[in-house]
Amino acid sequence: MGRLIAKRIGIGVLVLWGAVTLMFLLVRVAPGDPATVLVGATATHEQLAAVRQSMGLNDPLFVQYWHYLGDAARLDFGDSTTLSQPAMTAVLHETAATLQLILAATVLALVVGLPLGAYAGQRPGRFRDRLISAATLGLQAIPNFWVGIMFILLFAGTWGLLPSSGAGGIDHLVLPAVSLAMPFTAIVARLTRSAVAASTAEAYVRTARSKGIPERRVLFGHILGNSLLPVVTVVGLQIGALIGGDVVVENVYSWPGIGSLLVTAVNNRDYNVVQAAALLIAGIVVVLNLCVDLLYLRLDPRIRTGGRA
Amino acid sequence: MTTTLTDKAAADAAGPRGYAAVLGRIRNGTGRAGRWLALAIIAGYVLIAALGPVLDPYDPVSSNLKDRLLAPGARTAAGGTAWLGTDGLGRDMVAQLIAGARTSMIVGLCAVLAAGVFGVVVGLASGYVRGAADAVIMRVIDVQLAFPPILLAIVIAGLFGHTLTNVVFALAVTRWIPFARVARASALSLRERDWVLAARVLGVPWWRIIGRHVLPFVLGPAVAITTIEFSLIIVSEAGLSFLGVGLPPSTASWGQTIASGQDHLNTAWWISTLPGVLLAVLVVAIGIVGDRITDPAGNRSRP
Repeated sequence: MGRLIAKRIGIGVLVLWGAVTLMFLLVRVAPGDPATVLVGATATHEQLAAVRQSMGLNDPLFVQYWHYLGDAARLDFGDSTTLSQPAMTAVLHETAATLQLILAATVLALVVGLPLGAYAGQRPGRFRDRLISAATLGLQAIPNFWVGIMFILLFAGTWGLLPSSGAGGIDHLVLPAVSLAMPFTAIVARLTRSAVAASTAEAYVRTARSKGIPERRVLFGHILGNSLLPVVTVVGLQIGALIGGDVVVENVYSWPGIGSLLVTAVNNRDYNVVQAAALLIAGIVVVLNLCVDLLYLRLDPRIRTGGRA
Repeated sequence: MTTTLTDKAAADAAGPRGYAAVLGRIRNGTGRAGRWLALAIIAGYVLIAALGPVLDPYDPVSSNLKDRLLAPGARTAAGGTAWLGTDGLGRDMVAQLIAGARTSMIVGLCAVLAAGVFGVVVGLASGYVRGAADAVIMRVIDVQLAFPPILLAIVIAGLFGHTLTNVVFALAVTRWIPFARVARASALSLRERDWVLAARVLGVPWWRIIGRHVLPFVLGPAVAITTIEFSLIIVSEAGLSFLGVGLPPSTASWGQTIASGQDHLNTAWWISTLPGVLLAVLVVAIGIVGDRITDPAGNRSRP
């Protein structure tokens, strides 16, 4: 068990190193180097050359990479060119708001999606199954950002019930969290539905039902335990999509998180903040994936004991 | 389709056998009708995208401030009718929606082709050659998955500049992984099959084995996921353009139209609403057709 956890953490660190490398390559491959952006379009050739020298852009690529790795390890991505503070400080300042939104959306998706999926999957092919399946297909198909705008149009504009943007009390959280949770809820519900539907065809469920065990106990005692594993796996795989959705939703509602900061930085060509934000998001994805892996170990005794799968 | 006890129970609960059978036939019928409807919708989008400029004479990007924020059906200053209204700069909505459909289709097709070809080639190399190449490719995929696709697309489009080519490139880069995975999984099992082993023993060159004996079997699953990837790509493109990091303002796009309507939500609901409706309908239609393609037997979706 301990070795397995250590191995997963090791893989996580390797992936983070790869992410930093990928970002280094992207910035170097992109047309126009960071110095050009920093000095602006009006600079002379001499100024540009001086800035390039001071930024180390004349060093061999390998030396630049080595420095980049060292800086990344210290979370130092240079100063923001627009915010007059270190890029990582600016990004970290927004992290709490982002995590709050992601957490709220995840809880919402699980609280709604799991029971909905279990209810649909219990009786495959019946009316409630078809209704819920159709509804979740629709939920998954509607673009996140557009739903956000429709929510603003209806709840903030027409009915005036909730604030349309910014952060503040719990009322500010409702619309962004619901928009972000919608596709995720659909995924959780669909997965739970097919896992539960597959379990209901199993012999042990038929046995339990034929023994006259109440349906509620069949569901909780026999079906759900075995259905949750695939749900956990895929929920883990969808974390990237959830955080990607977060980046978009934050911008719709002007939620003051990493996603809003990232898009503003991209539009202002503030590349240090772009790198810091992208890598911090990658870090969050890696850590959350690690948590899901550990949860998986906890849920499936076969993996924990290293026994037969 | 195996008849399980639960299916029987469901049929019994629904009433006498004949009734259940009729109900089942109606359900299958609506399923088939739904798929035809979905196909027809997709064909409609493709037609509109292809014929766009012929269908609607208005210019989607030229502004006309006299006709700002006209409601659907209102008369324009020039005497025409704006059937779906105009936006904040007086641009005709019908023209914008048609041009947006065109953009979505072009970007979606190009990006899905690029992602598919690259992904299948990489997946074949990974699954057929195995060894070090496979290990490296799988680790690269792990690393890329740490970046949510839309985030990577934002960063790439931002770093490389807002042009049509760069948006296609950014979307292709973020969506090649599913193709690579599908191709790799097929190639891994195919390389051990008898006809591939026989070809190898006979001394057929490797590129011929891959081309004639492996690739044809990989293409099926790869084409199947194309539909889903295509819809993900057009939604991502709209998202990028909505955020202002996608296509240049000179190219009409549903995402940009949605964004431009944000400032007029309280007075002109139609600007942001209509492109999103079109986008959602298209994605649902593709989803329905895609389900059919990924599931040729047509009955696995309901166990």
